[in-house]
Amino acid sequence: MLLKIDNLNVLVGDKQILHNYNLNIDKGEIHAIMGPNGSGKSTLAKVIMGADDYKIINGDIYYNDEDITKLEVDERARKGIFLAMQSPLEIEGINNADFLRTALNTKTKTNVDIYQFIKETEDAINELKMDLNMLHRSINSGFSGGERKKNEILQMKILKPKLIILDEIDSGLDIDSLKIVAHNILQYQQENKEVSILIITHYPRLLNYIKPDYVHIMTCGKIVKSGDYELALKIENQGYNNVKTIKNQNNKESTIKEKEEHE
Amino acid sequence: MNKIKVVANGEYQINVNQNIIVNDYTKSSEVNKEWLFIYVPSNMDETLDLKLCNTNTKEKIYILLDDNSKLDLFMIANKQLPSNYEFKFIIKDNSELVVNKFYYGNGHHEKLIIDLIGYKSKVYYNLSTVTKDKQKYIMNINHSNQETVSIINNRGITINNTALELEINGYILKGMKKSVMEQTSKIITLGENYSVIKPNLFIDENDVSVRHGASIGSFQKESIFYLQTRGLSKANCYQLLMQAFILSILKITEEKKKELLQIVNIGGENHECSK
Repeated sequence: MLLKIDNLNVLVGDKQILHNYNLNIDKGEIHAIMGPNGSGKSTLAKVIMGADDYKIINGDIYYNDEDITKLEVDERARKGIFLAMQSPLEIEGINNADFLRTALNTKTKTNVDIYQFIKETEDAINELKMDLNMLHRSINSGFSGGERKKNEILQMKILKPKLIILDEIDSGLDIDSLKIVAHNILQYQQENKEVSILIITHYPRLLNYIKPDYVHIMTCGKIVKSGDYELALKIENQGYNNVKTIKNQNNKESTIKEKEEHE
Repeated sequence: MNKIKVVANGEYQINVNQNIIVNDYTKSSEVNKEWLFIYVPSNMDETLDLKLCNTNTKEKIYILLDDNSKLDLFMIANKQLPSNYEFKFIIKDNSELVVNKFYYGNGHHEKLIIDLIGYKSKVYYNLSTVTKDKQKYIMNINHSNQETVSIINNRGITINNTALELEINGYILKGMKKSVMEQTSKIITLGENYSVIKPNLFIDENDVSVRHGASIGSFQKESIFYLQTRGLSKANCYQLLMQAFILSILKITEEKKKELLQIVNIGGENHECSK
């Protein structure tokens, strides 16, 4: 098991956001989490990553069978967890290329060969159809929404994670950019068969290009239904309000310990 | 490359070409021998590196730009001893002074006067300081002619629980039409905040463009989180953000940036101006 979330309860301030949350992701699997605004999807992504705005009141997170619940964000990242953010920040003054190389050096604990780094980065930029000049600008400085998302995927391709969490990577992307981003993610996974992907999204649009093995519907901080890709399509037609009435036609069970009771 | 190094009070190493005249007090009746006097004659376009070393604790520096001249001034001070400086920059018709200034160190008190006396005179002033003990900067910018421009950018980082005080007084006198005055000051506190920014704009003319911004705070938690998610430790994140904050407003070469980073990373030790 690559990621196992076991009975996780999480607070923000005094408000509970995740309730008895369970999720198992095996190596090579693609999972999608869908849900309406405020259902706790992005909180889940940040909690897996270790953001300290959230208080875990009980439950554990295991990565490669190691309890990472108390690890710092950077330790989790160096172990191979990558979060592509919904709204990647602009950080003025830190050059994209320098940042990437520093991150790569830190992760690999070596001084990465500069020529190899440049070649690999330029190849990745070309595959993402980005402007090479972006590499020499401050992180996300002056980037459009779509360029920022592509920059996240560029970082993913260079840092080579094992678990990729895509937090609404499709928001702000036009259809051409969405195809490019999806193609690059899929290509990366095909080249690295044990890489797992957790896609967080409102809409099934991205899932048309990256077909998930499992789809989970999340409302009010817990998974209320799991199924396969068909479930995403039904959500598209029927909306989240009718999620409990959606019948899972092929009755494919996910690896979720799904709790049916939901307040 | 023109260079002046102030190694001790009143003691200088001067290496400049004939376009920059140092301590010729006949060039102005306003300045006397108490000052290090730098004069740029008309129609010159020069650069100057000015280094203020640790043992130089009290200094008065006067720069006069004659008509149609330009000076690109890079100043660096690496101070472990408390210091007290006074600067006066006089800029005549159609002249332009660009200042990129980096300070690192302990207690410091500085008074700066910029007199834009010339028609269409301009000053672009960028100060970055890393403060380990109380520092106070008082800046007075006088727009004394029409179509004058002052763009002031200040950035400071206070380490531990130190205080940085920035008082920026901009004056546009009556009749100084089409003048432009901009001030931006930002302070990042790495400990308790005892810092102050006082942006004062004294405007006595309607036909001008003026704006200011001032902020004191810490680095955004979201920025730290973002960098950490790529595997950088918290300490590395702070180091990167500090470097970005203090360097991004300085319009200087990569070589000079490396010199400044060396000072920051080694805590001011072993730099040529640390002794």
